[in-house]
Amino acid sequence: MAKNIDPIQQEALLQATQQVTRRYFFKDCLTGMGAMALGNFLGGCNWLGAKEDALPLDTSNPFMPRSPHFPGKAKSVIYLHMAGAPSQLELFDYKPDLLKLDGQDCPQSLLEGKKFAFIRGVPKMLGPQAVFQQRGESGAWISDHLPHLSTVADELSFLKAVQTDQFNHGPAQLLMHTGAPRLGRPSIGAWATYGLGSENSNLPGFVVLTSGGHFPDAGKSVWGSGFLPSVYQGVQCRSEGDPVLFLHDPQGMDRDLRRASIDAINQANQQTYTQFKDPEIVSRIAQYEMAYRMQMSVPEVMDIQNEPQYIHEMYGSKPGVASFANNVLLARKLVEKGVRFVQLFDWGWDSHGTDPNTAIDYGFINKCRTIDKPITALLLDLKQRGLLEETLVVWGGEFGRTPMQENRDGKLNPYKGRDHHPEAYTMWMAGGGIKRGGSFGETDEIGYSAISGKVTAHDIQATILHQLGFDHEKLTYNFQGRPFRLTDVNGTVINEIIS
Amino acid sequence: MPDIDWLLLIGHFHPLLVHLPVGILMWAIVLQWVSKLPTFSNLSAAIPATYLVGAVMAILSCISGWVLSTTATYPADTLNLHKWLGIAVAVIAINQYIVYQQQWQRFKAPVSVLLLCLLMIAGHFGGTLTHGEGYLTQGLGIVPPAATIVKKNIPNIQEALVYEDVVKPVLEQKCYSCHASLKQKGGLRLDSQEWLLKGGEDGVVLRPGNLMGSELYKRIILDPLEEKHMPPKGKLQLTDAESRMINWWISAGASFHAKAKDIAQTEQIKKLLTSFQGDVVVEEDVLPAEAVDAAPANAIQKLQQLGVAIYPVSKGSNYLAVNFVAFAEVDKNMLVLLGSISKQVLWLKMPGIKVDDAVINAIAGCSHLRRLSIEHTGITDTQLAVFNRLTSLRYLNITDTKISIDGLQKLDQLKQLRQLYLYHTMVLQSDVPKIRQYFPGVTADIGDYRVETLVTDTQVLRVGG
Repeated sequence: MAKNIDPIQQEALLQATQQVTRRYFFKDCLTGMGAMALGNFLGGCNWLGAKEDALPLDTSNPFMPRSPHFPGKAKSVIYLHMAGAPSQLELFDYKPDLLKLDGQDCPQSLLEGKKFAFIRGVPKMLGPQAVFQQRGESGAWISDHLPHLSTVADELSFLKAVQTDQFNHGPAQLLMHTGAPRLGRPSIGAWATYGLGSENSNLPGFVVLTSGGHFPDAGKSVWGSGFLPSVYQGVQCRSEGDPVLFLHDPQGMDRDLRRASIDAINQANQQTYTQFKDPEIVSRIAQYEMAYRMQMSVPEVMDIQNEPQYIHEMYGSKPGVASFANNVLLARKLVEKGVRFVQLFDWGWDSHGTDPNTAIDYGFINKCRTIDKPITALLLDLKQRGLLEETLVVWGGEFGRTPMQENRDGKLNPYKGRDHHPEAYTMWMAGGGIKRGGSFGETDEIGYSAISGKVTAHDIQATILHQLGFDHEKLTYNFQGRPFRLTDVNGTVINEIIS
Repeated sequence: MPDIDWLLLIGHFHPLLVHLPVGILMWAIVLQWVSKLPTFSNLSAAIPATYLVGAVMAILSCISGWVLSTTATYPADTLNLHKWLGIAVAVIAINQYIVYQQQWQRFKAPVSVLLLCLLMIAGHFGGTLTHGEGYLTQGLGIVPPAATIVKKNIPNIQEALVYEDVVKPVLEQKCYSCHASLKQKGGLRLDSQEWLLKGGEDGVVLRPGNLMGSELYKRIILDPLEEKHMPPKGKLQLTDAESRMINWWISAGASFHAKAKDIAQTEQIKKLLTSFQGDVVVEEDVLPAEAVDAAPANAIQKLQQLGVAIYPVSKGSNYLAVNFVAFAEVDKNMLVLLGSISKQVLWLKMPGIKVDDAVINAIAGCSHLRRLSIEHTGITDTQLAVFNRLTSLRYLNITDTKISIDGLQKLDQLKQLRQLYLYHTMVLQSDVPKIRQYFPGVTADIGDYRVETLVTDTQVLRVGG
């Protein structure tokens, strides 16, 4: 016992502990324990004859392909997340009326009862810092910041009124990808591979590629497996150097020796499994086996050097460097090889205007230039390979940006920038059974609030799962005595953008 | 002080009151049986009083129910059953009270069993009236099959009748299940011009030209969380395009005979209208209508063990998706196994496979095949011609092969073909008109898209130029 506790208190504590006897434990706790056991027992019996919600899982082959609830239009997903939250007001949500208000004080009505990440006091309004045009037959508004994407506007379906309830990057990213703003839930890619398995037994089902020099703020949990078996977490690959760290055998170790050592490890694991029956051990064995196969197959698929020159020109990719363009090209290659879910994070979209890199009229435009060509190339390349119709491409950030210019701590920032804005932002989807040239949702005349067609992260997740063939309410996993699902208790499939 | 509609008030108390006789009478039955045990014999004193209270409540329920049935519309058959069973419950309950008063020992047990049965059946039909057919068994997955909507082929939407061809199909699909001949919730029917204009028990629902005076539209656009929102929670909702169409139709005077071209249209309406045009709306049937026997389980298992991705296209379907993407070669053993599941294979992927005649014949044996990916292979025009047997084929991916227009020409039996991917083949852009001729309704993609490089693509903006 700690020394600094008052002696009287110490005496009282001692007394209290002495009261708790073994007999006391049996007498007072038995009913509760019994009730818990009964609850568990009844739950286990499935006595209501309820739906077989959780999927039967073969832990020795966790990536074995499984059937969705209904035939899905999409077989794979490429999710392009612009970490930091790109400004919808400079890209897709055209607000000419905001230009008229440029430089004026923000009306009090917009500030009352609102809390911003950095804006304090009364900020000025900031007009759109881009030239907009209507593109394609669909007439979608896309700014001149994305000249290439503008040419494929008719492939996209926009969601103009996405909302979130998180205004900090980490929680907002977690909400977008795991359905909850706190740590611990499985990410959407983990859910998808848990539900569908992998089409290629030599490659992981869920691959993550990052660019922009930093991880997303939420860290690796944003592609984690949460309470799902850990095999379903995203496998992070690098576009520079070895695609997966420690992929090559150490010097002096040949393939046979590697095989022998894995066999020995697996044997030891198998013995432990026989003793403890922990399913995580079986999934560990499976991971060793997969890693062994991946040593051969991953370098091959992750090598973009063999791609023809015109493909590199199309994507703007350069072998040997780490870039978003390389990652996008890799995403196409992975999907072509049967990878279920490819998640790209590109860091550097947090355009506050505190320095040139985060200025809406400098750094932001540079970021746009690094994604415009690759994404356009991705859509066209998937299309010509007959893959776009079965690959769902999702683009978005974790929230939007304010129509006001950021004034950090009440002082105007040195560069033009916008603060975090959870109330309305734009995302788009393409391919995978999504309507071509669609648009859903509207914001008010200054892009501050969503006025119709509001959707949330859960709605987007429900829609992605729907395209893969899942009823998001039925894709569940039993944990802590109850079935969990990606969309928690929310989520509606956005039928308006489904073809 | 507003006029009190006593009938309505009493009627609407029925759903509340009915629970009392159910509970009380059930409890009386429980008491009756439990009191047979020596430990609980003292409970028997409470039995007659409980039956009496239950009977009185049953009578009150019957009265309020009768009143309700006169003020609202329910399906007549179920209503009749519920009404008479409810009355029977009241009568039998009084009867049981009398049995106890008179001490007719041998009637007690049988009457209580009869009463229990009546209670449950009457209650069930009551539930069916309020919640609809199949509500109780929904959780079992037994859902009455939804009527298949036959979409009319509308070649030119501008020539189509707005009510008949656009509005009515929407109402039919989304509203008729509760507001037509089968059921008339709220006394409202929507299945003809007369009914639409007549409205329901709360008044007129359609005021031509007056959008905000038309409850029909207002209910649709109400926040889905509101109780009065239509269609109610859990039912199939109107799409954005559909509600805009109804908006347009009502605002323009809700004509029952006008053609689309006769009504003023904004650009947006014009665009939305085209989505109702026949050729766009026709839903591609994802699975074949005919059922197929399950594939031999051991063949599936063996292929799985070999590392082939093979799984039913959806839960409960016998049709299979098979993917050889992890392989460079399909050996004899696999081909034999593939042969044994040939009827069930619906989607097949063999990208980059070493193609020989045995592989081609195995594929061509998959008679129900809908989607075939055989890109990055050495398949020849002659080998492709064998696929002419795959008459159900919808999707054919032969990108990065040596296939030419001569090979495609031989596939004259593939009438269902919708998607044809020809990137990196010998087929030229100039062949596309010919392809359209061979396969009407096909989207042929020659690919070879380029994204031109702009000066700005690699430029980096810096402060101060």
